[in-house]
Amino acid sequence: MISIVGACIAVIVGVLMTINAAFMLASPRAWFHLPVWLRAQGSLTEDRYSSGWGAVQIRVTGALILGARAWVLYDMFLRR
Amino acid sequence: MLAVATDALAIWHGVSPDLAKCGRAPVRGVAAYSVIVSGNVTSNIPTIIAGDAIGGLVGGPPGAFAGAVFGSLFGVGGTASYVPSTKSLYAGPTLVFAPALGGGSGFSGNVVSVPAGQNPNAIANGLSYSVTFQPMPLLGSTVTKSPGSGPPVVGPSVGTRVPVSFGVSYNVRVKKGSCG
Repeated sequence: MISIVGACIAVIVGVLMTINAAFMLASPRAWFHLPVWLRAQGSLTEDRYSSGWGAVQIRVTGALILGARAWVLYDMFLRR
Repeated sequence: MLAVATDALAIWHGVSPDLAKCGRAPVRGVAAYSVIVSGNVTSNIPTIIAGDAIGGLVGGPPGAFAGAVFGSLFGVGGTASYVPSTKSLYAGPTLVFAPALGGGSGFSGNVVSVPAGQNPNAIANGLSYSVTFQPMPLLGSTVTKSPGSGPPVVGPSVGTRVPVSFGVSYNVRVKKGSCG
């Protein structure tokens, strides 16, 4: 039972991180406009991180998260 | 690539790669280690509502406002941790405190390296505490301590809880690996 709850948490964490990371990579400005229950922006502000160097940081962070997520899925299910 | 190199060094030193990976048999003359890949997502909506309610009971509308602001510093959510060397997955609830307005809502991903002699599965499983220094979203570091599992482990971190956050989580095993 408890492992089922854990599995649900793992799936939710994975899905939320993937959605956030995808928007961060594609468009930092669009990421800041996601619904509040979906957006995990933390203490980051749109003024500072939606353009210029701030947006670059957001895009790279999104790319790193997506890359890590893809590697984990590959290693867990495909790699022998 | 890293895993292949570690396997080769383990075999070269006459140690089973699986044992070396599990952190139970350090490879002689080699800094054998494994890693834990973790991610967590939290929301401060429940804590804002709770802070608003408690503050309102104590101090009326000003108290409710103060309570909501204080609640925004906390977040509840979940953590998922993967140990590549044993292909084990752990997950569980997490509570975060980030001393910045709205900091309780956010996510973070990190990779901590576990030195030889410590079992990464023991660290990923059960109760653990972490401190994450995140001066920039893509540059940060995290320190994780799991009671009864040896000294704290450290690694790089990316995330949105700038500049620092403190977390506690309790993970259970979701997927058992080869030696987890």
